[in-house]
Amino acid sequence: MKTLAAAVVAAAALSLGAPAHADTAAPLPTVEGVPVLGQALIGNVTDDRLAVLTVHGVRRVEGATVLYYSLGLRPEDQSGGNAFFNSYGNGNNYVLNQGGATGLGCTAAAIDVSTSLAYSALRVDAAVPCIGTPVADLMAPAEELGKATVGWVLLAPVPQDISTVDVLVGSALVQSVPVEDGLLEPVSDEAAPAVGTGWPAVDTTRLSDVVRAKGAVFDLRSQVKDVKKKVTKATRKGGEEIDLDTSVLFATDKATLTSRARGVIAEAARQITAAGSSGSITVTGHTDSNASDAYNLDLSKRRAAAVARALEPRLPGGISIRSVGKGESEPIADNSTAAGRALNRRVTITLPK
Amino acid sequence: MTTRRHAAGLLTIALGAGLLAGCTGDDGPDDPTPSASASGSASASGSPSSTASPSPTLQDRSAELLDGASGLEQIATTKARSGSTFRGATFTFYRLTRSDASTLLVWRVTGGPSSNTNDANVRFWERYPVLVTGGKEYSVVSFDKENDGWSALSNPLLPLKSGAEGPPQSALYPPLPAGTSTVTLKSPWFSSVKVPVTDAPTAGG
Repeated sequence: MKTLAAAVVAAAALSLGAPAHADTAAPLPTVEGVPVLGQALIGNVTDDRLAVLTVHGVRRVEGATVLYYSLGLRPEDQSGGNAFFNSYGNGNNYVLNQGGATGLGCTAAAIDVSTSLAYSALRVDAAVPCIGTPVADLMAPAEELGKATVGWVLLAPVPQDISTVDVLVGSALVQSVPVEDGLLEPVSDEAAPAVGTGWPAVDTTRLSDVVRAKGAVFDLRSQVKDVKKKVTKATRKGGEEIDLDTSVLFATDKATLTSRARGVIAEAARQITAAGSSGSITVTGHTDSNASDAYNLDLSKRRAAAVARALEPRLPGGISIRSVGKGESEPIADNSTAAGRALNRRVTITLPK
Repeated sequence: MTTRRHAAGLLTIALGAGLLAGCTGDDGPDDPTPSASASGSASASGSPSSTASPSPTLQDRSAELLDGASGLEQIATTKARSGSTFRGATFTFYRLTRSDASTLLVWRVTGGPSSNTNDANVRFWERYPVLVTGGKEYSVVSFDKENDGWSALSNPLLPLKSGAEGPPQSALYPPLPAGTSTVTLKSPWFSSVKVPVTDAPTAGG
């Protein structure tokens, strides 16, 4: 079945006419015996030197995924004192980690935007709440500033049908990393060996200490808005959604469709049909946080019902519609700004997975 | 009433705390298995997809890896909006690469005399730049941050010093259509700017 995402991407490509050819970014270095699957430059808040972050492997093992990476100073920064790579990355506490996990090694994930899921570091109840390279070992001493050290961390299991992911580590994102099976060999006796001297031993025995394993898988949301048609295609929690802007569908505080709503709903129906959807779709009303909970809940229900009534006759047979209201309970943006409130006032059509 | 927390100040404090915590000890593997041999290659144990390759001598290849890394080449620049907390700052863009799965934007900010990063809190994903092309707006990917709302899949911008270029920032977006050569970046942070798009590099490619 053709997916909505594929249909939208194809339509977007067509809308560009004959697309100009995009150049390819500079190639990755080739290093004998060392897989180089992606690179990024990272900094930190206390050291002006930039480090080269290299992803060497995303490897499935029983119960987990192993992310191998290395860190080393770029050539022009190989001066000064010891380089402590565990302090690199500005924002390690804030992205795709569980409950206050800290440090570079614990803030890592394999990201699959197409299924809207990210597989982050598995959590353990310990001073360093993840399973990976001891952070003190992630460093280049002053007398070896040209050394790139290899680290690893255990992530949540990446499903077998995912062949490529984007990787987050060290506050940096690296695209298009293949997911493969098994540990890298040969194994070094160093906890954080220099690149090329073998791979660190991965301690999978600690998987029995993992807590809240489900919490290591984060839901993602991505959206592409068709500016003229006022329809936003979103992927969320592995499913596909179409968001309709209520400022076009309804007058303020009203649940009667405006004259402009007809075109928007027709476009939504066209996209649902193009996606080849069948079964039950859900139309959900959402509001911003202005007014009371009860008022917003009622308004959202009435708006969802109005959209569902208008949508139903435009859909092919075999599709049933359920309408629900969530009021202000599921914001997607900040309710303290006008822009955020506008995003929260929406009617979402959720397609069957 | 449902509101999302404002935590720009907390962000700074917690980031600092996190860095300190990151400098403490670790309880990593206690008993690594020494099995390095005189020669070997990157391969996978017990794997049908092992990357068998000729067996090179085990030796420190850091220089090959680090010397071969591509640097940051400027592809576009723009000034901060006066109404933004970044006022006086300069945004320099270094990479906008697309794959079939995602799009990656990399930039650095040079602070002005009164610039601050409050507008770049990852919790306010809707303030992040959007990529505009072909009549569509591509918003930054967000993630559901453990009962704390949807946050941008990006790293917070720290530090920001006047006259100094900060560390590279990156943010992930949905995939642009194949063949897209240019997009316009729109943001409440800075004046709109056109940025060229390249295809993401791949291993061996």
